[in-house]
Amino acid sequence: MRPPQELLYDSEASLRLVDHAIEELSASGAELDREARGFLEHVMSQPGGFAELSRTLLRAYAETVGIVIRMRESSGMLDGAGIEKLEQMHGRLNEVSEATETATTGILDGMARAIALTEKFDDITSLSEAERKQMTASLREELSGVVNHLQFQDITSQQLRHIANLLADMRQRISQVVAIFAPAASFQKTDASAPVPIDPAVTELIGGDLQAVADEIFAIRTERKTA
Amino acid sequence: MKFLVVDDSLTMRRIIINALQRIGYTEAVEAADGEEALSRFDSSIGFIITDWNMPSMNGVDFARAVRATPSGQSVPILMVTTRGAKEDIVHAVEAGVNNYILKPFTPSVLKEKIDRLLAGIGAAA
Repeated sequence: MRPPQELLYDSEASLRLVDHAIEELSASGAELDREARGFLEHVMSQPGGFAELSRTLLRAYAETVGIVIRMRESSGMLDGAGIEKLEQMHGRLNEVSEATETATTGILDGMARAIALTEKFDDITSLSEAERKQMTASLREELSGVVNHLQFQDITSQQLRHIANLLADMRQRISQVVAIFAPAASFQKTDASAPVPIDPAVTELIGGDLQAVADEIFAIRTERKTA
Repeated sequence: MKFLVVDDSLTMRRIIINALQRIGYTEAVEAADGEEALSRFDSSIGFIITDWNMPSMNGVDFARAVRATPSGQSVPILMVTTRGAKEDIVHAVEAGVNNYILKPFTPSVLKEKIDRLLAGIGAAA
């Protein structure tokens, strides 16, 4: 057993070491920043003291968990169906591009043939009546063909409307995600017009196959009706 | 014969009317949707050509409404549309549409369908 005087000397030395360490920390500027110090002073001044601090930390933990859950939900909003819609948009934009090019080429070709016919007008008096009629009919046919090519406008218009609807849907999803992280932010809805119905399967590339299906259905129905 | 051409696309209405003129039908009135078409429909209309997808009232509902009128029981209705699914065609027939053309179409197809309907052939309704 050590003598009491010796224990006292050791304790005094230990306390001097601690005091010296604290002075060194203060001197190096490693102090708590004002906000944290103020917070601790506030906590210590509360009736519950550090118990209040633990409640505060629990609340912060719960809010952090809530944020993580919302982040998981937001990722779901942009997955799956959202990506599929983006792929749809890409496909339809390609179709629009193809259709407009095809129609434009048809128009240019028709106009070229029509112009070639008009170049014969200078010699029209040398043509027989039958030849004149043939030339007129050919010219009418070419110009009507040009007009017919303009059907692409209606079909591509429907495609673009469908894309606009898809974009509106994506916009809605993104605004929901934004609302999670910035509830004060909001996107004003700009399009107040009623949506025009569209055919989701519309395409310039319908071709003759679907018309044949339609003709078959009507033929069967007509046979049943007359039978 | 007076045609009633119904389509929300002005371009399509002009194309159809141009095609009608080429095959000899020069009298036509236009409408941009089913509601307007219904207001323009009367006993002087001898043939209806209608689109499907239109605002206010679509082509199928318009056909059904025409069939419900006294003068609309027997007028030929030809649908010109992009809707090519079988169930769509059947749906149109059940609404009173007599025949069907898929866009894009050629004037010769339009002429063939009109001739057949006017001759009383190929009318499913």
